[in-house]
Amino acid sequence: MSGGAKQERGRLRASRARDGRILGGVCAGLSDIWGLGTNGLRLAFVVASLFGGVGVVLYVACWLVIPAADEDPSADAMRSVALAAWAVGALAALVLVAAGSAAATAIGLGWVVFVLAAIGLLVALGPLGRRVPPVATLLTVAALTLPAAAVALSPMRISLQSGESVSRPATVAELQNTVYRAGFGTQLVDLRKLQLSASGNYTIHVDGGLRRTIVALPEDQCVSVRLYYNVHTFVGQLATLLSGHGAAPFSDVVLFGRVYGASMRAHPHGSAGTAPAVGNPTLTIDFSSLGGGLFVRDYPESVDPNSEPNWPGFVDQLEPRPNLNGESAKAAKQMVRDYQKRLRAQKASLAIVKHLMGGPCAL
Amino acid sequence: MRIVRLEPRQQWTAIAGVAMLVALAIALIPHRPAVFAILPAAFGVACGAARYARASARLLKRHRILLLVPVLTALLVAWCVAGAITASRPWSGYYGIPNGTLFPYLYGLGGRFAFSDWPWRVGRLPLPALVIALLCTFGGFILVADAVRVQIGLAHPSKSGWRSLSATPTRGGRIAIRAIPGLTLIGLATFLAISLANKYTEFHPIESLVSILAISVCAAVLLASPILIGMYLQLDIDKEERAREQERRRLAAHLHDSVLQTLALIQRQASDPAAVSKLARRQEIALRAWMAGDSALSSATIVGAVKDMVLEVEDEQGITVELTIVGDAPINAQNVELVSAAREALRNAARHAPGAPVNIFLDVGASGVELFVRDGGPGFEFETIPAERRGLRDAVIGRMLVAGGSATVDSNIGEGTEVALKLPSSGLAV
Repeated sequence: MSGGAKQERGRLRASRARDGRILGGVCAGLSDIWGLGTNGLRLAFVVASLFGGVGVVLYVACWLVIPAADEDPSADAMRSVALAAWAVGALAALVLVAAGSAAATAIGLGWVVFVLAAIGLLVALGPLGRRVPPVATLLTVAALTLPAAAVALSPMRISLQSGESVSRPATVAELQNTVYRAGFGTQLVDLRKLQLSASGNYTIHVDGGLRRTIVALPEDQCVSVRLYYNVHTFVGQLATLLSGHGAAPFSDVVLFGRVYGASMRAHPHGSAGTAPAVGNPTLTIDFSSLGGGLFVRDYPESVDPNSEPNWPGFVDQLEPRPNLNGESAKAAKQMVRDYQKRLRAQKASLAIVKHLMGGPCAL
Repeated sequence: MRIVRLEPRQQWTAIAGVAMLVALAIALIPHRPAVFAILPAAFGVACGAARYARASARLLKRHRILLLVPVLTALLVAWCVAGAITASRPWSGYYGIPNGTLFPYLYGLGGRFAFSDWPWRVGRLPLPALVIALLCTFGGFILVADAVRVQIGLAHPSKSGWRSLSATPTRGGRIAIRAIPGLTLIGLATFLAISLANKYTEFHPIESLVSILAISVCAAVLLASPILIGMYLQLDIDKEERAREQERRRLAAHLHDSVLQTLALIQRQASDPAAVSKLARRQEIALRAWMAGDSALSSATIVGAVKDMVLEVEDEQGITVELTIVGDAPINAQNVELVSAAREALRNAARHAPGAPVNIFLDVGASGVELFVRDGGPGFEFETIPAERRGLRDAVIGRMLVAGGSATVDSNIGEGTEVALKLPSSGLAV
């Protein structure tokens, strides 16, 4: 298979038949070559297909490589099927380039994309790029610049943070001067150790990224909270969809157990808050995310919010009375007794959850 | 300073590309009105579209199958976007659809169309990735097969889509270069398949090893099958060319023996109209018989055929031949060729050794047929014969090779010439 291409097609005994064919005419065309007969050859291909589809692959390869009996080899037209395959390849390459440039812009490397595209354009139009087809240059530049520009125009920014990041601001100045940013990981802003003055008005900016953020407040101080939230769920949902995760990202905003801006909405945004309490500090949270949710509430010192974000628990429905149909009297009595025992425990824990749910201001 | 002059076909690309770059630069500046970036971007896209709209339309008209590519892409994108947008929307109550009628399997979910219920997975595998992997597999397979076709000369190296769109000249290139896009696509598909398989097996060591092996084998089969078929076709082409060459040699040998020989005799006897007429008449009858498919020889055995041949040449050249014969066998196609070669050798002897004694020794044995033509003429050196003198080469040596035998010429200046024709017994139909 070495040497340059022959300019002239050699005479070939093998060709795909036009008459008496079923699919591509491969078997009908090759039958006189191997002496198997058309039907014998068909049977051979079918049998080979039983071994992991080898026969199918071979048949398609024959169909692609062997010319049809009436095909004009000197025609300079590319075969449509090869052209379509080429287009699929070009499209795959362009999509990869576009995804790469969009991702690079989202993590803040937009100018790198710009410089790359500019150098590419200069080289392709210069003397080195004489043989590069201009349409390839243009499509590549478009795939680099247009998605990057779209991302740059949108609020889509994501930091390269991952894992569990924990911030514990030590002073009030530090609290307000930091933007709490997460990207691909979770984040905890722990304010439990911070002394907030009773008349203070504090504002923090939280960028939640793709996963959930917790703002943990002190257990022993009533802090009145004003919350402005702006969640762009689309990107997070698209990302989870493409990466093959089954579940949607948690996009709810939860303030002392109350759910705002539930994941049901395409673009949850708005404001929420607890009742202003005189003589207590006020914390304003400016929250935005690419689909990540937010929990804001007090947590006791003994609880790690990262492992128990839903502390103190859920306000569940109580268990319904068991179905006693078909049970013997004795068993039914036992079941009812167990049920009442469980119900008492559930009522007690529910009372605790309800008591704690509102936070220190409600106590 | 040298100003680079752009070719006309590059100018629109330059304008559109620069507009897109400007759009990106403006978009990257913080706090700018979005329209400042959108306008140059739209201008760039419009320029590009205007430049290539007609060429694209022409390409689409010639190759309708190309429409499949944008349609498939649009479907895939729509599928993903719809999945992301409709994620977790409550569907019940919309357009009066009762729970579970649209998607019966959603019973028990309270009529909510949950994110994970968007039908984008096959088992645990995400549908878009599967579709992309399949498309890459098919595309790579087709492109490799096409490179093989071009390599063995079944198709012209054709313009890629890029080149037909922008009228760039086609580049030649070896198969290694032409197959690169196809190989890349199959590589991409393999990579996707392996990562999907790892997702499916959750990196269980044995299962994932087995799946990687299976995928590699599939990729190898995909790559090997068009290449193997191409190699088979190459063999077929070579065989066909050899057969054609043999046929040409056979024809040349026959024409040399008959027509050219007669023409030479006619030239020599140009002063004798009766002889010329007789020669021409005989040649005409022989040529007609040959064209009608009759063999020039009518004898049933080798010895008879050789005797007929010797008489014919004696008559034609006016010489006397001493014939020695051992054994006999029925005639067949190979023997016919041997006799024809011997006739030619005898004519050579008559022509180049006029008056010298000529001997023929024929030995038909179990191991094959051997025939020697000896003359006591001046002799010659075989290497000194010019290549365009084909008598000995085509009509004797070439003919014997085609028949599956061999011919050797042994001659020295002043010592006469011996032509030995040998046909092994496999050529004898006993």
